[in-house]
Amino acid sequence: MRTLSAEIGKTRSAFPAESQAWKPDLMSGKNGELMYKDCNCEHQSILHGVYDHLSISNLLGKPRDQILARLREEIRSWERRWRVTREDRPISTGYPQLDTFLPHHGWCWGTLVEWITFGEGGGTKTIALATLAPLLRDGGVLVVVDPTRQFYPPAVLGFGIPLESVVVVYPPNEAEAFWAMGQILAGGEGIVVWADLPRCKPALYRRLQLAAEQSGALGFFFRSLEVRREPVWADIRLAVRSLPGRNGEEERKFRVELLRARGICVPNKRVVDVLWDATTHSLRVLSPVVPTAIPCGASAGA
Amino acid sequence: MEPLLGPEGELKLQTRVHQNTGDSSLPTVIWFRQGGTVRVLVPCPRAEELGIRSGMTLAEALAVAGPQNLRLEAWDPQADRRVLEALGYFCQRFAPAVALEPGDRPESLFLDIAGTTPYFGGEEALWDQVSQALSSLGVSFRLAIADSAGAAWAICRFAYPSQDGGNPEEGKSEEKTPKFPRWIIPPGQVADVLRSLPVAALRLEESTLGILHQLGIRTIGQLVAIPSEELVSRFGRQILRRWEEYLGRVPEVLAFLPSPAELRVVFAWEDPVSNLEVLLQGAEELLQKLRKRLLPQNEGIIALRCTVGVESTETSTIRRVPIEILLHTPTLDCKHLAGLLALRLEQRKWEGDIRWIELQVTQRGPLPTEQGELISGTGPQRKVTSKVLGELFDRLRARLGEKSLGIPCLTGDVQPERAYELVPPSFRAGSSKENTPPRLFPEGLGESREEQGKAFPPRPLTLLACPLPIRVIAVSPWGTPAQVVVRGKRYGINRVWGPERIETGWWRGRTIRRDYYRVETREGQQFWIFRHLEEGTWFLHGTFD
Repeated sequence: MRTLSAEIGKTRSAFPAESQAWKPDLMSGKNGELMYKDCNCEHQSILHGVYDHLSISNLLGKPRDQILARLREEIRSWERRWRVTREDRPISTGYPQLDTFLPHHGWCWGTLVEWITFGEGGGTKTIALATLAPLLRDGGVLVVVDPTRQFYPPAVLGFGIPLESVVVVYPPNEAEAFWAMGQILAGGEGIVVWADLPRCKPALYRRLQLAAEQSGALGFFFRSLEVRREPVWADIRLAVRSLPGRNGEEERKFRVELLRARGICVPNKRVVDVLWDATTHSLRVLSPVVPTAIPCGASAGA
Repeated sequence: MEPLLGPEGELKLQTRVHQNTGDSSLPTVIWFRQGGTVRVLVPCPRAEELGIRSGMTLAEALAVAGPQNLRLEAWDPQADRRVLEALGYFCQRFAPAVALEPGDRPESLFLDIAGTTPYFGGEEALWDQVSQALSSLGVSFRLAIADSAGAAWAICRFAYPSQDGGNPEEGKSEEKTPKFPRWIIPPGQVADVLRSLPVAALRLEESTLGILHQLGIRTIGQLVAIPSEELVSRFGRQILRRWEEYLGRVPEVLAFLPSPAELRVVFAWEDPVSNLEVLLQGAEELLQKLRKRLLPQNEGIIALRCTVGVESTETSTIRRVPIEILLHTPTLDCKHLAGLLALRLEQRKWEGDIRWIELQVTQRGPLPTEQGELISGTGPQRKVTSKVLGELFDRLRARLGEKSLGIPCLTGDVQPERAYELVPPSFRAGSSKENTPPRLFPEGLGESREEQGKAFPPRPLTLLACPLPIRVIAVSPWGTPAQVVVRGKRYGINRVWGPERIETGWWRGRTIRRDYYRVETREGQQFWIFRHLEEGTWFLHGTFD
């Protein structure tokens, strides 16, 4: 229910209180079209857009859960359509098992990836950068938007990333940082935006997503745990939690959890444990990985 | 051919620019690759004082000056060209027709002084004024006045006694008198001077010079003494044609710089305007005009000065408001330029009405040629074109400021805060291999990027601007940390790596002596902390986010 509310945005306010049943609020219009009670014209059109793709006659009278599930599935199906052309050439993370774990078998141009961090030194950026290293070694450009001036470029050498492929931008304040992110995301394929994304209005976030979608740039945004319940416009949301390692070993252990993937049904608790070796600068996936990508069509039949 | 005067820059232009702008607190050397060796092309005067000379290997120069005391900069032929062009525009005060030496890497300027000498009091007076003007800029130069551009060039390059010892007039002040006679060759006598010069002064092909050397022909006099029929039968018409050019009998094709007036355009409104859109419309029209003027020369705008005339509503006086725009790559894309102007103009608050707008190209360069992809979008990782990046950087800089972005570059300093600096991204034509910086890693590290990365000790992705004092509990006074208290929160330590001692040299001022540890908490978080060796206090310096 929470996910659906975030996805459909404005339409949410068209729905009556959750305690009310859906069936009594659906009615036929003058010309036999489906109407929704207590909704203004704008909401009617949104709902019609939804219902045009559904067999309403089959849904009327069905339990509320089934209607919601069908709606949810339908929305995901829409979300998938535009990206089909880009999904066929994903950007590999350099680790086949991690690619399998990710919804599109790697990163996709024109998408935003949101990383939830668990406090300082949690290692989220380490994992994120390790998965970008092959791309940046192959001509990609990482543009770091850093209003706090705390990003430390020499660290990227430890990932085998050449410094020439990194550009650092120092906006003077948060508002300019958002402007810079939008501009860079509009730069096109081959550019990766790397930034800490503070709490912001959904409209601002949506603007970033549209910029990336239209140009084909990739955005990696890092957000604190506090914003986890806020609306998200990112296509993928991941959380990385550091785990204590063993004494005498160099490796660092992480648990990566896939929280959300736009257009993909994510089963509960999609996690994978990985080891990061700071001396060999490589990731190792510990747990066996089952493909995450479950197309909506497949799930519908399930 | 008309008399021409040619000062030679000797590739020291780039150094002089750095010296004049004062953007480096350290002595600077410009290096270049010669085969597999990296050599000093030219040291700045301060580096010369340290004993560094042109032609030294970079390793020798670093040994002489100390690695911390020297700023290294790759030789950038395009930068030299830009400076030479700027000098050319400067020299248009002496002659309206100024050209750069033909070729990819010009080092000389040609001034067509026919008809202008009377305004300066004759050729000798003109010589003195040019000499004074260039000296005041701190530029090394040699001058010659002859019947043709080629002859003036040959005299500058080969007739002066010192070839590699620098210019005798270099850096000299105005009150000093020149040591050498003025190389002003009277009309019709240039052949006598040229005959004594080596055959290389004729700018012949290497293969031709090789044959002449084998034949024992060293000077132009020896060469032109050979009957012309024999010269043509052995070497074709190249030598004779060049000789005719040098004597001024055959014109030499030169590309003259446009006059500054051609690159300044003004748009004035009949009535004052205050609307930004109207202002931008005027600017776009002006940009189209500039585009038409630069396009035939295949040149683009690098720096643009926009001046807006603002009329005060109270006093009716017109104030000039200048706006400078610097571009990453030479461009004639009017839409992009208008967008940059809009970014800058909309940030301004106009205290009055706008009467006119003026655009002037203050710097320009050859338009980059970028080959398009034959098959686009087939691979998963498409490379970003320099055009896309250049335009992006331009927009960011126009709005956020010139120093708001850069590409990180290692400085070689061991102190983490000073281990890198941001270099403004700039367009560089030519091969990238030549501009590859020398090794910046400590000795003993690998050459490949992967090896460099692996040999580089782990560094945190987040470095605090100012180290944060923390409390550390250790088993023994100088032992490894067992617990750390960061921002009031206590963390038990699970694993520790270190210490890594970082100590700066005494010559840098106050010595920095720190023992760095990478510590992992029981929750798996990793911090980069250090102990101040003199005070024994602990600081958090970074986090392995």
